[in-house]
Amino acid sequence: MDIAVVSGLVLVVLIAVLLLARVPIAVTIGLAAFLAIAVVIGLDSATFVAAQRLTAGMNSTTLLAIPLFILAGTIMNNGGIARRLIDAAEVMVGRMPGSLAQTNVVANGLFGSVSGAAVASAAAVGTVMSPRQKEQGYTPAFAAAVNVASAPAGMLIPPSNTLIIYSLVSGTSIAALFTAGYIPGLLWMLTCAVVVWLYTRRDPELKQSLKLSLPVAVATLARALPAIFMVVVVIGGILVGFFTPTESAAIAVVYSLLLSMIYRSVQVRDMPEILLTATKTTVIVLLLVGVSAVLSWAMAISGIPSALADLMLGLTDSPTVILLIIMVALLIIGTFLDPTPAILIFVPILLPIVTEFGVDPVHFGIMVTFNLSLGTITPPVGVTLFVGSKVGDTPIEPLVRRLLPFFAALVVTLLVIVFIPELSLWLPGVLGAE
Amino acid sequence: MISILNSVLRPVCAGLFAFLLIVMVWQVFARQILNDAPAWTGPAAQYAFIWLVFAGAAWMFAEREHIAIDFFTKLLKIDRTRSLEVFVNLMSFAFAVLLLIWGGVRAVEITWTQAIPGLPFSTGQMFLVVPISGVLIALISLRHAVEAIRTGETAGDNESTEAI
Amino acid sequence: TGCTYGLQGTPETGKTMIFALDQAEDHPSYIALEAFSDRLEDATDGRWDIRVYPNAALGNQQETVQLVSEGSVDMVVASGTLLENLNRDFRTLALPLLYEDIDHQMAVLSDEEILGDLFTSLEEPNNLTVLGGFTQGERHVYTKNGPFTEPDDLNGQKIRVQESDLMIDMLSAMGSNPTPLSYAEVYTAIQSGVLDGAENNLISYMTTGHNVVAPHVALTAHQVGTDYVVINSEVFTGMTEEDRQTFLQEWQATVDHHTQMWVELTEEAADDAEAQGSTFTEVDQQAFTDGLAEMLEDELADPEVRELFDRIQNYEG
Ligand code: NA
Ligand code: NA
Repeated sequence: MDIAVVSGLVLVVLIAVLLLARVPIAVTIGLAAFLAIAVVIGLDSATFVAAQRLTAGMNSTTLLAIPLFILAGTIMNNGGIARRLIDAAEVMVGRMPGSLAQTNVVANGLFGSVSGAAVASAAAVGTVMSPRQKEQGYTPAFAAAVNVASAPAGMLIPPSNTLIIYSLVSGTSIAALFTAGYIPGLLWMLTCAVVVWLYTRRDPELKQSLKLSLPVAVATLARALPAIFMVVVVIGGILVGFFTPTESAAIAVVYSLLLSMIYRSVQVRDMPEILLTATKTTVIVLLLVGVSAVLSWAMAISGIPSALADLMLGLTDSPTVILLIIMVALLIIGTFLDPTPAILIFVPILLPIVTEFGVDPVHFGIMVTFNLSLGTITPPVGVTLFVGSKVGDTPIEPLVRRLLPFFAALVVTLLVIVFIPELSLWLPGVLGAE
Repeated sequence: MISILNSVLRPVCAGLFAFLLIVMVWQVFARQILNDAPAWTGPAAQYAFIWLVFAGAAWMFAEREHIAIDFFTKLLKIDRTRSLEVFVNLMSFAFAVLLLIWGGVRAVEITWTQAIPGLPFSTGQMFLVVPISGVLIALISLRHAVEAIRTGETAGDNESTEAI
Repeated sequence: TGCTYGLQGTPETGKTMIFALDQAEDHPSYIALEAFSDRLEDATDGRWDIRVYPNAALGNQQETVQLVSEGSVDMVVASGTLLENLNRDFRTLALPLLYEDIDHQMAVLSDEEILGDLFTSLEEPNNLTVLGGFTQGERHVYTKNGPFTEPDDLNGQKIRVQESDLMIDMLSAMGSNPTPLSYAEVYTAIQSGVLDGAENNLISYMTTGHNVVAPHVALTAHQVGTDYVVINSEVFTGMTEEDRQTFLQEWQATVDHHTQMWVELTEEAADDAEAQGSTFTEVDQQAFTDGLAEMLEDELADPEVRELFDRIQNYEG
């Protein structure tokens, strides 16, 4: 038998069995990749290769941005900054029907534009918003659904840890990916806003809006300005080339720490606990990055990606069909896997196939991230969904029912983004970030 | 044993993270304000980071904080069975022994004398954290497995809901 | 080991060797190595062949050299800078003014007598045998503004070099202000004026597109670069005498094949560059040689280093 087949079988069977038996994902990928390598070069050598790839996979300056963005997010999560961003969002959309729901959508967008992760946003914004929404007579399920549906926009709006991971596996520029994410991220928010609007047309209960006096509005926006200014420092610094992404992440930590201390939402004695919370997330992501580097080696040595590429290219020569197949496959994969492991495992296989058809790697990164972000709000496994249900104090089942219209609308938006590359590539082109 | 381990690993992780942050902030400050890019900050941050990840990994195994997919085991109602708990921990044990201890020791041997530019350490010394973390994870997994056999206690994993 | 799948085999019976390469499939190294594999397979009745993994799929050079040393990968292409960290004598082979031209370089690298035990010196500590080298061609300086002919013209010009103290010293001795920067950033750095130019061989000059932003090429030929091909020592010494002779014979043919392709591609690159508006300037060689000779005094302070250097410089086929 061909070694690609033997090694590939070892990988697929082991990953399937161990994942389904609730073995930790990092252990699953690491063990399966190790055995697939051992099939090719022997057990003893495979141990060395695995340990070397594990550390080599983590040994990248770019990756250092991830723990720092996670830390900044954790600090911002501790009140202060999040609350001011939500107040600002309320000023911006408070006059619309369904104001609290629309505020939630915009607040997730604002939080997403200073934080690298979607889940932090769902937690921070949801914690503040769901009591307010319940007060206004929203059902907990609807309130939580709005929060869960809109939070993943933060994975597309920079900074984004998911896009950093994609940049790492695809070798594309972070500045290009970050700028490419803005318009699709805004489209994600817009889609949610439209669905909320449709809900309010059907249900007059949701229609009320807030009346804010102009002085209060101005004062609220002014109070949020320092937090919003962080976007300018972090993203502007990267685009102008003043900071590397890693340095701008360090600046984000210092800036959010200073703000939180001024707002008295974080004190020095809170730091160890904050560092440990950020450590947990960092370790989860980085162990996945490490074992995925072992997996990439396993796939390279046995020639699996090129065998699969030949197989797919043999099926059809239509780029539209290939992209549709890939998008459907990723939607299914995303129901079980979170974006980080899914990108680490599948992008090395899929990217060479789509570039063969002239798809831009940056555009592909945006559609993959958009697609897999949808997976975080779907059962059976979805981090954003779980967090949203927890902070919204509502069971999964009614929440998912309220989520369905959002999900359907977002799938349509996904197709728009897949087939109109300019939505992703126009901004990086204009800003010279290619 | 596990609580002692935790009380050691927590300050180690927090300390490494703080060190990493301070080095990165210093690098930005030195480059942008002092106009002088020190050679040691890059590798120092990089190696603190790798130590943080492996020390943190041991700590997370001790606290049972990993992401796993329990959808199917719940569906089949075997999620909390003793045999599944033992199986899961034996897999973690195998991972630690094969990749981290065996592979880690070989990596340390081969790179022990390989100098790191700008730092007074060798690559091999940097790699030491891999087998150390491996020994801890192997012991923790065995301990969890034995607990499951002896007491029938199947804690399962904490749902880790932090951002990924 | 009793595994019958895949790339495993023993040196005694022959095997499929794993070759880690950080170049792409259209690079002369890849093409030469694929042809090497085909000829080797024919010549040994299918006992030996090579599977080349391009595009750094198995890791970067430093990592893959470790893998060859350990035995999980059989062969690899390694830069002189990397081998210099294992044995400082490899630095001598990277000095300026050492080789007259590519023919001189390839003659020296194929001559066991002149190099002494340099190529076997890594066997004992590192389990690595150096088979020989692929030329990386003559390196020239190219700039955004120009043309220039004298070291004085280069004064204050920021020229990108690899992160190697030897290259920094060399470009300083040539009058410029050498600036180490990672390869990927060079294009935009020259375009935006952060750098004034860079130095490389003409093939890379064209494949990187640097000709667009730095059209003035000064034919300094300050160094003739070498990439070394390294094999795991146990695999090499474990071959039967007959197979090893066949292997070495085909290896020499591979080097010749590579050199021939390199020369042709360099000519093509020069033609393309000219067609796209680059200018080539002959420089005042003596003026540059004087500057570099001064730098060489320090490098050749050790009599043994000087002896090897002189032996190579004065070598005549
Ligand atoms: Na974001
Ligand atoms: Na999901």
